[in-house]
Amino acid sequence: MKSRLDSVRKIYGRLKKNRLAVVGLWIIIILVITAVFAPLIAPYDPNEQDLLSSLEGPSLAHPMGVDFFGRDVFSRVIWGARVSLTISLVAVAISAVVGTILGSLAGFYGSVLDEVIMRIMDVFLAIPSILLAIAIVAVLGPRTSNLILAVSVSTIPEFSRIARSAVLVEKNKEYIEAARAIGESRLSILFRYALPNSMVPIIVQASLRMATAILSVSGLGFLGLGVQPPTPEWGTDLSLARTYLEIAPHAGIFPGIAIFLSVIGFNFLGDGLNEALNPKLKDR
Amino acid sequence: MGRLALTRVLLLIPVLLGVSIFIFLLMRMIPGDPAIIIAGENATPEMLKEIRDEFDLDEPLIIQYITFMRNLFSGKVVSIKTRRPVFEELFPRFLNTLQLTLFSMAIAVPLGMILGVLAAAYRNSFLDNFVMVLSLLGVSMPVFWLGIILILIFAVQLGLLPSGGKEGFESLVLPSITIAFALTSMIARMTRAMMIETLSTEFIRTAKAYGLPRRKVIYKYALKNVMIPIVTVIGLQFGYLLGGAVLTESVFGWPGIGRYIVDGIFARDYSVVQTGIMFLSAVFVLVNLGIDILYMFLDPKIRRGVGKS
Repeated sequence: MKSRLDSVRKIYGRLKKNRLAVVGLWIIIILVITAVFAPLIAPYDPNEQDLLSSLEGPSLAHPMGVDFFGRDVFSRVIWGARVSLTISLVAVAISAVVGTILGSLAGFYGSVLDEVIMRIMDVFLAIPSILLAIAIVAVLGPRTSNLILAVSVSTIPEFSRIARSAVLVEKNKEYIEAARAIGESRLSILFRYALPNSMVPIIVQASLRMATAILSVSGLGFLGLGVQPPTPEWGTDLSLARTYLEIAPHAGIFPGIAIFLSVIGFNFLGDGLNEALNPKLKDR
Repeated sequence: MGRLALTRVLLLIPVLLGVSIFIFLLMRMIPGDPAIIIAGENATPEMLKEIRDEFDLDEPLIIQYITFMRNLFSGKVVSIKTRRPVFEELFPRFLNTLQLTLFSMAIAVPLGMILGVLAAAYRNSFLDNFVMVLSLLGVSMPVFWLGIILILIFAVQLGLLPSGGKEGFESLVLPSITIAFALTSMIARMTRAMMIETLSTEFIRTAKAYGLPRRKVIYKYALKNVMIPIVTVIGLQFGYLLGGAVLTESVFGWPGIGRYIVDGIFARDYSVVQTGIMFLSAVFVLVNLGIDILYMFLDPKIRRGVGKS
């Protein structure tokens, strides 16, 4: 356990040298705090309507202005963090676990199992992922669980590909031979040795996929297929703001900045992790 | 090598069959009676019967699937809403998306490559950092938001360009820039990474040791070597864009294939959705196959059958 802690410290040390990664990490920390403490941070109830101030621009009372229904945009952006982060996090977690298991089984066992799993993954890779997500949500209905399903289905193939090639590399190393020689079962070799040693690219991928998941969730919201109003969600709010954009651009600009910043956070971190964890890039 | 290419072609068949089955089953999961969805809530029983007969809705799923596939291959799939052949509607839409994609590529490919090469040539300089940050921002930007901002600036405030639709060259500019932004970033990042790797290889060091001018080393020898992986990335992105430009198309009201399929999804027009997704998936895997074959031709090691190492 101590050695694992040490290696975490070492990775953090390397990560710290990458300025962009540190910025990314801070953005994510702030984002998570915002999501967790939304009720405390938001000055208003995100659904409280004050029709008299409809479409008012930014002011001291409403730092990001007011939307068409007289709701405080700042409070909605704060609450939106909760919705976007939760859905993206659950979706990425599911696809990381499912994708990694499928991919590592394919890579480790090879032959028929490999062919079957990877051909099924090819099917999902061949369908444009945004259209796949749209179709799933449109058919099954825009509920949160279906949104999560839609985002995970289009992300699983990426994870399985990466896990597969990582396990393929590990599979032929000496320590695996050694484990086999002392009579470990194949499944236990895979999950106790090969997989933990293949985690680096999977962790990097998870951070980068969080960025795409946030984009997909808000993109679906923008098309009217995401989280349904009046729940505050950045993409959905942005699409509502579109109709009166010329009079009140603030109602669309701020939710957009929120999406942009969160995606930047995860992209910066993922990129930095890649450099910090990837031994090939380390010394450059 | 010919055999390798043939195997790749044959492997596409199960993948596309899988796509067709998946989309077919997904569309049948729409809750409610499809006949009522097609005819509307007020349809008489006779109308419903007619529709059920016309679209084989009373047949078992497997028969419906086979009928669909047969119609697909003979080009006879008919839209449920407009009753016109889907291909007739789909193809012009596809050409519109193709036009948008090619125009975006024409902006992004040269720009991205120039930025990437410059960043690699002046590594760790201000320019390099600037390009790297800008490209990370580029891939993080939600396209629909960028599109809206561009409309606000160039259409609403300045009145220079149309905010949407498809009329003439002007209407192509804003959606193309929207797509090109992320694309340029990706190509620049890729080019930079590849250039840095190539510049540290033996043969470049040899070239430098021979006293060749730096400029010549970078632009003549190094750049030539990174062309293959860059072409691969560009090809992959090309395939993605043909199907993935839905959001941009919807911001700018561009009548592309992505929006056509999304409209089909909303209208529960499963002929349109099934055909559209099949078409795009086929284009996507064929583009990928094309790149792989091109790769084989470009890479002398594979061409001579030496293998990758």
